[in-house]
Amino acid sequence: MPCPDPNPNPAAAAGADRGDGDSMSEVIDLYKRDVDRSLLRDRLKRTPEERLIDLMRMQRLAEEVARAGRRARDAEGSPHRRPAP
Amino acid sequence: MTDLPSLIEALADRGVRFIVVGGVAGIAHGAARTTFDVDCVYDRSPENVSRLVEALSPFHPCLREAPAGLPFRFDVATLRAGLNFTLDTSAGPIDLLGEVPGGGDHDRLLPHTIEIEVFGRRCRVVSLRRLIELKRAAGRPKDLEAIAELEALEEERGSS
Repeated sequence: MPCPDPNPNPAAAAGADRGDGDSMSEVIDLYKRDVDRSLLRDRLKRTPEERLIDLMRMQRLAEEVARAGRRARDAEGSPHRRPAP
Repeated sequence: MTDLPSLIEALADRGVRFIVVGGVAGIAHGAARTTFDVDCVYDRSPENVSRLVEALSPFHPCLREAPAGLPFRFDVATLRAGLNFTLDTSAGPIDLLGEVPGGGDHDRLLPHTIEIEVFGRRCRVVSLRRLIELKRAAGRPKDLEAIAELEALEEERGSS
């Protein structure tokens, strides 16, 4: 007997890949339950320009994190890496 | 990072007719999802394409993720010969779209836009309702979460 997936992907579960309109709406409704509405209400208090400035801040942060991750990976692979104590 | 002020300033100051769609449009309306490129539907009239080339050339556009050595010249002839271009520029990634599924070209989309003022310039952004319709028409599984957020946003705006 097939084992149910403990972490089903809502999109796949509702057959969104088929492009079926009804199943698409079902998936969207599933996702909608998890939308953080308090975050949206907070965003709505800002001007469009403030929202775009926030976006650029987030992009900068994401880039910094990606750079730090690359540095950490490079250090792991480096022959000069210090052995763990 | 996308240098939105520089891109919007360059496009607006040259009088380029364009409409912001996609993730940046969603964020302008209040969505919280992060995106890394700017999607613009541009008017494909010869004079507008010429203005577009003039506005973006200082940012040295090149094709995003194109094989190394693939020749690409960002000029009027290239834009007129193609339709949609995914570009990297010194101000960040920008997608230039001649048409979008479910929305058509610039002129068809124009009645479904709003004008916003950002960074001291006015620019057109697709309406929230139309943005949802465009994403539904595209039917990409990766957009389903974004659509859910946009619909929730629409509900929140309606109830405020």
